[in-house]
Amino acid sequence: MSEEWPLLTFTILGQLAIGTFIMLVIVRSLLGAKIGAKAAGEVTRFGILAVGPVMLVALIASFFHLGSPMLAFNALGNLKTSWLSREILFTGLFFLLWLITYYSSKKEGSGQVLSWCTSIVGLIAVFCMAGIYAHSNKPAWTNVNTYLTFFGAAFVMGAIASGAAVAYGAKGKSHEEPIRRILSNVSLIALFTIAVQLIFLPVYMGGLAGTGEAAQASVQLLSGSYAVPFVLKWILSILVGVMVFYVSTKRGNNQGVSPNLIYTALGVAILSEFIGRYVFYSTAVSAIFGM
Amino acid sequence: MTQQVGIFIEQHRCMGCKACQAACKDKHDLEVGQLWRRVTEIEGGSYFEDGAAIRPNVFTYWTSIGCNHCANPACVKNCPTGAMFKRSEDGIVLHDDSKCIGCRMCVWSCPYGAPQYDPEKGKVGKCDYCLDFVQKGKDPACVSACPVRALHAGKLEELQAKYGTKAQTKGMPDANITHPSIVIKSHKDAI
Repeated sequence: MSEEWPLLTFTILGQLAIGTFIMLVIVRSLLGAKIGAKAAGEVTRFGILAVGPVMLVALIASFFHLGSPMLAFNALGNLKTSWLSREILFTGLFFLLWLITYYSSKKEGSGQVLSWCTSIVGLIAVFCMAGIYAHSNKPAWTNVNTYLTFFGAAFVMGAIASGAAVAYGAKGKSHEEPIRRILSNVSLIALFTIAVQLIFLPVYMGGLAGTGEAAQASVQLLSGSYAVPFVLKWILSILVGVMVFYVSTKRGNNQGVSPNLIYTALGVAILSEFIGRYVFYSTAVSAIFGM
Repeated sequence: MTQQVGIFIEQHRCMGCKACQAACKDKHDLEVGQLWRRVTEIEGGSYFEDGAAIRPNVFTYWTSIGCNHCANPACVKNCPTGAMFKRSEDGIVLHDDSKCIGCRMCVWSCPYGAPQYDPEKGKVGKCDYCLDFVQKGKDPACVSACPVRALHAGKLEELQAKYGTKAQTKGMPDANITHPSIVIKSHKDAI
């Protein structure tokens, strides 16, 4: 497992950055209709700015996975069949487009179309990330759970991070009601995403138990050596669910909700995804003859 | 790819001495932990009561597997750099060290464990069908080393015409995943 820390950092931070960007673009256009594009842009500006550095750290982390990092750009050499090539292309492209989007969004009224393009590139990047694992020789990964886990992480962390960014960006500003409504809505998205993953969990475990030695070895790791982090991940996810549910009920309340609660929810969500991804890498067993 | 080369494995002859494994390691000067050809032991059966006696009904068989130079190699498909490639003239799957970035995607792809990562080099290495030997008209090192003549190199088409098309025995990965260029004559307990 120790050798997978770079990939763990890359996938978690990459999905955090992409999920946050997409959610903020949605939030910005919804808010724009209520409080005007300029105000919506101001409220989301800090969040969109923060996406870039997070993505950059993710990309740098990915280099540490390579045995020969000096040749890293060779990784674009097989776009025709390799999901890894595609992942590098689209994550790199996402970062470049973020740069362009960020600078063009400083000019009022422009950048909206570009933001949506960047979001779509981000979605494709997450799909390619999952594709790598889904096309491996590890039965714990070669199923729909990988896609669910990666998109789930992007949307849980992204939704809450967009809420946190809006709560931060709206400090000391008016427009209280539309902002509360947005916070409530992104919380519901996070809650829904957690619920879907939780419902699918028994399907995933059941599916593994029925297929081959390597899959059963994974089940044994999940229920044995890695049972503690595996359970902890889901306890933390449920805790996040409770927190965002609380935030979502504060829609009509004049008091609103403390930004600290949203920041805490974001911290716990990132921690839970981090632990979950650690378990994801640690419990996958290769179906290799004789090993 | 009519000239695809392959290996005929007489599993029923193999006695698990691992001379092929050692010859390969020697030929390619591999570090500890690396075996481009590997002998896998599969055992089974049980004991049964026969009157007052307890008698064995057990078996062991071995399978020598290196790179199978598959028709549909998962390593080549998933390699992001093109370092892993399949030669058109004889279908040998080769690895170009100079392009390899050490991402280990091939290691995560092959069901036979053929590509192996060398942390010293920061690159992957694998069986090359002893190309230098074959070009001189010799057999690959594993084939020459086998004391019971359980391994044979040759054109896959010819091997299949002579010995059939079985490429998978009990306990082995589904041959439909990568379509390995091997022919196996099974051990009686591996059918």
